[in-house]
Amino acid sequence: MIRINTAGWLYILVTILIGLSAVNTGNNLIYIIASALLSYLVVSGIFGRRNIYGLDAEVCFPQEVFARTEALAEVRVQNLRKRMPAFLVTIEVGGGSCFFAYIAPKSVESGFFPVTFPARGATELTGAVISSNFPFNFFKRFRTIKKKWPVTVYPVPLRCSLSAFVKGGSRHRGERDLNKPGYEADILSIRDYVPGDPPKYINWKSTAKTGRLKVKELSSVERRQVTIELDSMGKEGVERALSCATHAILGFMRTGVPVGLRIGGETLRPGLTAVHKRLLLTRLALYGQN
Amino acid sequence: MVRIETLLKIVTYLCALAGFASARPHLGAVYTAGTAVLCLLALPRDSGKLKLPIPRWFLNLASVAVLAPSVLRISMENIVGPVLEGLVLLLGIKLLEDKKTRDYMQIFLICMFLLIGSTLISLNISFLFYFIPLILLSTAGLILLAFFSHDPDISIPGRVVPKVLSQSLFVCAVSIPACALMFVILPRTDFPFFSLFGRVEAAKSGFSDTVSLGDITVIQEDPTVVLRAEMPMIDEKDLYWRGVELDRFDGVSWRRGSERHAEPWENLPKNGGTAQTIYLEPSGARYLFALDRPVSIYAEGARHRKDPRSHLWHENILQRIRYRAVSVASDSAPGGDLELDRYLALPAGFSPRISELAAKIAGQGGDPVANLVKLLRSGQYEYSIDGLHKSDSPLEDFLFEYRRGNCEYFASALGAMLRSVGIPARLVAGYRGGYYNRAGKYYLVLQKNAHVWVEAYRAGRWLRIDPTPVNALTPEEAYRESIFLRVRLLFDTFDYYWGKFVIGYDLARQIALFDKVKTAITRPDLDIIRMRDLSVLLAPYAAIAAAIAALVALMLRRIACRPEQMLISRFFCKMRKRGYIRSRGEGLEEFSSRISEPELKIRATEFVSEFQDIYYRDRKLGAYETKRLKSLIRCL
Repeated sequence: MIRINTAGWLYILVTILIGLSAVNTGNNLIYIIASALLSYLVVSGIFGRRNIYGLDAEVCFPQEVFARTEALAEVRVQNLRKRMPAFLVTIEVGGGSCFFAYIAPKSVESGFFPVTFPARGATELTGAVISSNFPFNFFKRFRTIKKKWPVTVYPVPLRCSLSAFVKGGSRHRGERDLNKPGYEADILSIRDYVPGDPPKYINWKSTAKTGRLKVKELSSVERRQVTIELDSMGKEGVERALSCATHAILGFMRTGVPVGLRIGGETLRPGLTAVHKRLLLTRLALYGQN
Repeated sequence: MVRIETLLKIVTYLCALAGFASARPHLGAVYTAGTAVLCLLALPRDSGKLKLPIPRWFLNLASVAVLAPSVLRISMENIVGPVLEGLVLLLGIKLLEDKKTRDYMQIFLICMFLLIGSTLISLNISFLFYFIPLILLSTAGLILLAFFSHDPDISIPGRVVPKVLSQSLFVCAVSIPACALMFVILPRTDFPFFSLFGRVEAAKSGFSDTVSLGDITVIQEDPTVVLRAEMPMIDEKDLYWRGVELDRFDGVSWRRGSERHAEPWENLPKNGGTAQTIYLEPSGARYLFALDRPVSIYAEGARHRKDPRSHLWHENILQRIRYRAVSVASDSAPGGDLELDRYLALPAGFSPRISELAAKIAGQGGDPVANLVKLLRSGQYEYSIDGLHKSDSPLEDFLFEYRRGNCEYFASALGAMLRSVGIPARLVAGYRGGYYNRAGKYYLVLQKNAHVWVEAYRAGRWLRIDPTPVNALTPEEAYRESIFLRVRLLFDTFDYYWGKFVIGYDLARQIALFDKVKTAITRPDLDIIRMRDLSVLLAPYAAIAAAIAALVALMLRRIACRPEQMLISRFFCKMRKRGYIRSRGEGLEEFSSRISEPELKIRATEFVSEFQDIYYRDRKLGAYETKRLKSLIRCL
């Protein structure tokens, strides 16, 4: 597709006028100028077309995309040509756009654009429009890359009371110190060095005072587990409950509390890994959807 | 990072310079100075060294104020000059503005209009010196403008700048064949509506149809080109370019009589005469020139003259024209029935001293014409173009007092003396000699070749008599002795082909070309032989072009290839010659291990080992390593 810009219309008008002047005066030098202007019209069309062909685009989303929350998607443009660079390329996807002034041959450039999805669930962005007004600002050429980029949009996180959903020490989130030695929490005491103690726990201040190697003795922590039960929620408050659960999962995970989920008759055991978090959020995102 | 706006400003100023330079020869001093001042003011302002806020409305008002007087000065006689002067000032004002995208566009447009304006005044080949830079700069400017229009503050890495600018060269290179094709096929007309342009150039020419003695002109030192005649080289003594016949003598000047009578045609000799294609520069007059004596003059696509002997164009010649002529190289031509009074007339009170001298010399026995010519060429009279005296009786002063003069004096003296002794005579104004350009196969005739000679009517024929003594070098001798002249002729070859193929391309040639193409397409068999000849002729050039293209491709490949790739492909090439071809997917060590010849195997393994040590350890291939690996390949 091609669109003529204002400058393009002006150029065409001037070319026609100069062409008419050439015919009316019979002056071959004006014919040369008119011919050059006409040939530039043709050549700019060829160059413009060539500039946007041989380009491929991919869209990558961040690992966590939440509904009604702006996220930065990445556009990667690849110039597949061996020698010819691409100039002034704009990629439009899903209402956002990225501009690339120069893409070297056989190279990949990337840019970011904000994207916001209105609702949770599995969705996709379809088709990227590559456009350019190269070489001159007379025409704008467009080309659509027919691709689909699927994305799972998690429910929008919503802070709310968790008492109805959380099972297992809901009021004591996070870690609790045990009065037992370990290597994770507060200092319990300072004792003599025993071979095998990690050198990083040597307390140099006490060592200097006493003249003997002293090490810090730390207490150990106990991690609590929580499981969010969503099967009990009513149908009317589903979206709110999913949003609350999302917020809770993010909060627990951030403070290091393993989180599990019971949803749709299925139980996902508590875990603390990033993969587990995405699994839980995906279940929430796809709840009620096939 | 380089700001696009900075580059755009540089290109815009260069473009403005090219546009201004194209119009400069046709501008008044005030306008040149005015534009220069505006540019000098705009330059520091654009570079940020001068903080001078000028409101846009003020500059718009200034533009109107500049254009208004230019428009008012336009007249039918002078359209282009005032427009050009207005445009250059407008260009200066536009440069002063805080430029946006449209302002840059307007500047490029003004530059193009300045060039167009200059073409309406002059069709000289110098057009190319302005056109090519202007097109290159405008292309670069428009590409940069595309960046600028996207974001005025855009910057690009320094390494990208050459790639952007090289695109403009690429666009220009691709446009050249398209431009040539467009030039050939764009519609043309035989009767342009506004052919009035070009008067300024025409006024520069200096040929006069009046020979006024004592009215000294500098025409004989003027190196301006008058005509170029495409023809074979002929004997120097026959190089008389006939222009206008002057038969009215008033004692001081010779003029062309208003009424003409038809003279019989010279019969065309069996050899067909000397055919010429003449490219005549604009003179502002109607006279056509051809080798003496012309039998026919024919111009394609132009109205024919009723009197072929008058050699008149149908209108004043304001642009370069082309016509064909056939001449018989002879110093006499049939005269037909003469109006004797016309060719014997002398003014009332004609100098008795001259009459007496003429009678005395003519009556010395033998041919009176020869006697009179002998007098003028005897050495008593000196040829000179300098220090000629102006007087009321120039002919008498020349013959009896100063005894020096140019060809006008000699011819006038002989013409008047012939008439006084009763021999019909007239003067012929034209050109004598010319410089033969061997490359272009044409004669170049300059204003300084202007000449006047005499024709005397004897026994029913007009005899050409040139009484002017030949003192100076002949054009051919001058060519041999002057390097400057040779260089000038070399450059003139370009001008000649420019006029022939570019300026002279008109409707008739366009139709002829289309007919040729049509014939070639519909009946290609007709041209098979010619095409074969052509292919033989072009084969060496095609071979050279192919060799250059291959060399360039090889160099590009070398540039594109990494040195490691070059080395390894050279290694495989050498091994292939030794009979070992690497199979697909085969590793280097695997390949070298299957070499059966022990010595070759050792050397190949050595190369592979050293190569791998560099390549797989990501070591940089330096000059020493490259040299070493190359020597190993040579030893294989």
